Amino acid sequence: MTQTRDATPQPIEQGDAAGRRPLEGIRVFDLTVAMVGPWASLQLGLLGAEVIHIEQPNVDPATLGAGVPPLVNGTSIGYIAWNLNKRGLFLDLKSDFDREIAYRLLKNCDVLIQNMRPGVMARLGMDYEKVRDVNPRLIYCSISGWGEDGPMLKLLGADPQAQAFTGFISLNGREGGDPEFSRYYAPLDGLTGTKAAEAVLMALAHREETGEGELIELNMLQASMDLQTTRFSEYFATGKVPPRLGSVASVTAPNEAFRCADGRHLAVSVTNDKHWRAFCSAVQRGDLVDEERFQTNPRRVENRVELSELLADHFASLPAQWWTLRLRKAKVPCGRLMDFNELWYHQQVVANGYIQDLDSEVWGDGLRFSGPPWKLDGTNLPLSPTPLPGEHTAEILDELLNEESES
Amino acid sequence: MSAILSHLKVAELSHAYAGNLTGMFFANAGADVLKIEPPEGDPVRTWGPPMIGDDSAVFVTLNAGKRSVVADVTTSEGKAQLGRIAASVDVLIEDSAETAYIPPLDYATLLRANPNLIICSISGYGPEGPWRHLPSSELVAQMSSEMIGGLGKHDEAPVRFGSDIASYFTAIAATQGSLAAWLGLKRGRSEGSRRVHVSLFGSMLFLRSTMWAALSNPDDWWGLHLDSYLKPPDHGYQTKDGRLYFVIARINDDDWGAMMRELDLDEILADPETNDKMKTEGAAFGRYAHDYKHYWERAFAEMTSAEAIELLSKYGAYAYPINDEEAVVNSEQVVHLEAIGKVIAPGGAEMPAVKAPARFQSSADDVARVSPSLGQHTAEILKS
Repeated sequence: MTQTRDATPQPIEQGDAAGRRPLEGIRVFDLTVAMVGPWASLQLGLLGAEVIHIEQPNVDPATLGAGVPPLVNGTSIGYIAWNLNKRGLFLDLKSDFDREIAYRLLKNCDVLIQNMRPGVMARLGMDYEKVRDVNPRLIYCSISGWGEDGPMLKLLGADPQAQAFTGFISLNGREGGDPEFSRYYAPLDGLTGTKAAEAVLMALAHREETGEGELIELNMLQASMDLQTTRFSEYFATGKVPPRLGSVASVTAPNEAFRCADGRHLAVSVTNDKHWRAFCSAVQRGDLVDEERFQTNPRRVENRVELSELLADHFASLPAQWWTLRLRKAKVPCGRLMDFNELWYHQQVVANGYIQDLDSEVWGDGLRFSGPPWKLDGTNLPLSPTPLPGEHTAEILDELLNEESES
Repeated sequence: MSAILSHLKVAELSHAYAGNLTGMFFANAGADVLKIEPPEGDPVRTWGPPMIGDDSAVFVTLNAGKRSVVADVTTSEGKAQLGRIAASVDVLIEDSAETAYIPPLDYATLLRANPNLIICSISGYGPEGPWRHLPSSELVAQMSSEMIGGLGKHDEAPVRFGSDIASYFTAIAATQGSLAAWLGLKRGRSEGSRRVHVSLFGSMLFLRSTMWAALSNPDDWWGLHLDSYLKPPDHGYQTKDGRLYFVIARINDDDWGAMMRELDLDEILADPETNDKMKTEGAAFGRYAHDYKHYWERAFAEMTSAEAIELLSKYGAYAYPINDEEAVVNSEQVVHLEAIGKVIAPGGAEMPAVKAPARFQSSADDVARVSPSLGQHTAEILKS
């Protein structure tokens, strides 16, 4: 892959860079592994929290981040991508000495996040009851695969297993075809970590009002089911398993990708009656607007196959760009697939800092990561490079001694 | 016991899933959510069939526990009503991602009138850049962010994620961003950050940080799943009566040998190179999984999924059925976790629904909540 430095996306300035980030002053004790946990604490770090990421001393860098390939300078890409905006601390929680340090640190922390296998935290003396005694204001967020008990407790629970078990992949695929896994990295790990960060923010908001700490329990199974809540509503209302429909949406129409004369597919979404009128006019099929079978969204959904076939022939007659111009002017949602190279350097991506290059002394220059999903007027949310495991151990312990001598 | 966000009041102005879901997350957490609808109602009320009475099943699911107030924000009267509502809430969620029909609000005036207000805007493509005013949708976001490339074949018609992932992830971001801004304001950290922006496009791109990093400059081009473009879609493993997925982890050589013999795969054991690849990276998302899939499927052909899962598990593999919505709802684990609650439609009809996934120790258990009819609470909300 060639990469021209000029075109490299840069972090955007969001007004006054001196604006303080909303979670500054919140400290997170990050006892997380693989993706789910680190992805949760990363988001708190992006919002300004001080995240202390714990690793075992003498860990093999290739096995960090669940050992997810590929490696960069011998370290798993998972570790590098999931631990931005953190500081690294070595602690061996199996040793009494280090566990005491952990308790001393936790006195001044606001949040603990962990996604160890069930039972591990208790063995390390780090379960909620114990840690609450150290700091009753702590928000303790515990993330598991399948919940805190039940027949699947001991089963490995990570992304592909959740994709298989929770119904997620049963919704992906061609009409009448087989269910499909996502080829991309861990959407449900990402989901559960993101949901965990949301839950921590809720508990922090609650504590702001009440002064109380909190125990949060979250698992991939229920998070993955909640992700499908719109499709579960079809099942619960009808008793029928929701079908796989290719690119077609199930409860609005027309809402699918049409093949155009140039062979490209254009996604078009008509989700309300104003869209419908604008759509018919834009594609020069005003004759359809008041047809009884297509007049309302429920009627269009009921007659979706007919409508799709009719429109498929129509879209096949002219190239995607022509339809795009007309539909955009009419403010009807439409869009086509962009490949990676188009996407990375697209003005819309660059302008919003959605993908950013980050140079690092450790991992090299030009590694590319997602920028934050939020923009806050007047406050910049910059990325900072992933630390080496334990990189800030001395610094963090010095700060601890200073804080203890001041209090 | 009170719910985790029972101290918050939220207004939701939305014509599509992302805003509806954001309001649902707040309502599930106990916030008082005022749903501001146009006179003809939120279009999501018509997103069906299936319908429950006058409203779509999905509307009832996403709006249970909210209060509905009608205000036409395209008129000056409606704008004034919106102003009064915004003066009484902590957070205003505005989702104009799919429609160009919610006019830009007078943000500065709303923020001045209520110094504690957070406004979170959900757009299709983000607040900056040439596409900032373009409408988007669940499908369009999956397409334009290239997320859809994770499914299907690259030379065939696109296959979308069947769940509404762009809307759902955007709703989490909107909830997070609103709460972070609220916390920043309360804690005196960020007085200037009362305007939050999230987008369907940005949320889909954020999810894929690992992919951007993996494509940047790895030591080697193989990786989960950098070579997937060369391979067909993955459907799991076919058995006699369904599909399963399994992971070989920490199996010792004796168990591996016994398992392969019981599966009539002795021929693999006889070839050390194939045996080693198949044992270490020959299943699940392993590097050679696709190359060896036909062996596994031959072995499972005469077994039911349950039988194959039992056999694999006996030797230390982790094996799982590939479930559809019905199978997962009825699975022992989901029943054990009591993960399904219920919602109530305006006419009183009850329907099951997935419960909010996070459990807060200090919060009351999930209670059945009622979805509002259009404008049901207009009088009580606007008179106060």
